[in-house]
Amino acid sequence: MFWGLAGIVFASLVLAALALNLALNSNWPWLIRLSGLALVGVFYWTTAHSIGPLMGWATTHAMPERFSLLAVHVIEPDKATSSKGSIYLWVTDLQHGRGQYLPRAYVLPFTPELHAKVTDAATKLRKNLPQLGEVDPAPAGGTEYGIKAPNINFYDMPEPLFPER
Amino acid sequence: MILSSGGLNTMYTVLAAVLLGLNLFSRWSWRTKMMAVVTVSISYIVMYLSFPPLLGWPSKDAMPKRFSIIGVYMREPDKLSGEEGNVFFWVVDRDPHAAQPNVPRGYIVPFTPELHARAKQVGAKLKKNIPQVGEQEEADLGTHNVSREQKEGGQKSIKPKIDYVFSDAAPEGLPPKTGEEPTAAPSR
Repeated sequence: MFWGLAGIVFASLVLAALALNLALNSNWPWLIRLSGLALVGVFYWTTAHSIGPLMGWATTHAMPERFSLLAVHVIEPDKATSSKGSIYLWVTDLQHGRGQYLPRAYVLPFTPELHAKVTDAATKLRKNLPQLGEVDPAPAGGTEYGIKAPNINFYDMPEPLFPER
Repeated sequence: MILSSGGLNTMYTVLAAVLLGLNLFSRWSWRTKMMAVVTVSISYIVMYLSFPPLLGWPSKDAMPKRFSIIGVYMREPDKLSGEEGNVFFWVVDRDPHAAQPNVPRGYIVPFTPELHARAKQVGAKLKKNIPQVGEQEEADLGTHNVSREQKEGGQKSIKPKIDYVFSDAAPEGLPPKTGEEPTAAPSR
């Protein structure tokens, strides 16, 4: 998330620098220069209020190599609507240690193999067996949003050596 | 979601317009104008790559008025680390006119013992395959939570806070025949 915000801040600074130079170095009337600066203010406000509605929705970003599975939601393919289907996973990242507890939602292309695996994993979750997911670097196949379905395997979460506080 | 995409498109348009104005009407040398074009192009790429890392994380927005709960995850407060604790919900909006029907969205709600207890019950029922739904309701905080300014003004207006009520989802009725209304499931 840090790099996402850093990129937006960088682009905002670029726009501010351009607008300032427009105000100082162009031959436009003062009214137009002032309108340009006001427009940049509107841009900042619009961007700030556009980020919020984007939060919470599943991402096509690469999944962590190891994660704890929290929940699964499957939309199966529908020939009537030509929908290829999707598989949504709600996970916490274990790749960088248990400290990364913020859950994140991912969307993956529907494949029968992945559907079978997540269905089994979801069944075990309901039986109170925490599930650990590992992503195999080699993609399994299936494409949606230009993203290939990763090869994911689920295992029963190993017991911790010491109980968590 | 439509507004958010529109906002971002507006941003790109504003940036392009400002750059065009600079290139046409500023007193910069051609080298400086070329650098400005390159810099803006790079900023477009940076912006494009910046938004995916923001997606997927839970939102602090209020949850929909009526929603189906897919998952619940709780982090209790930790006095040692000072962490306040949160309750995370993964829900689907039940509004038939929702922008993205049947697509789950993650939310983060501040931890309270009452919410924790209710969310724990929801999680237990989900594990028993009992679908859960939630509804938004405004909570009356009572006069104890009236602000000082309101008291001094002689008013006792109560500031509503959003709260959520969870319940078992109603069993789905029989699928309707073409052109008929859906029938309710018979009570057992």
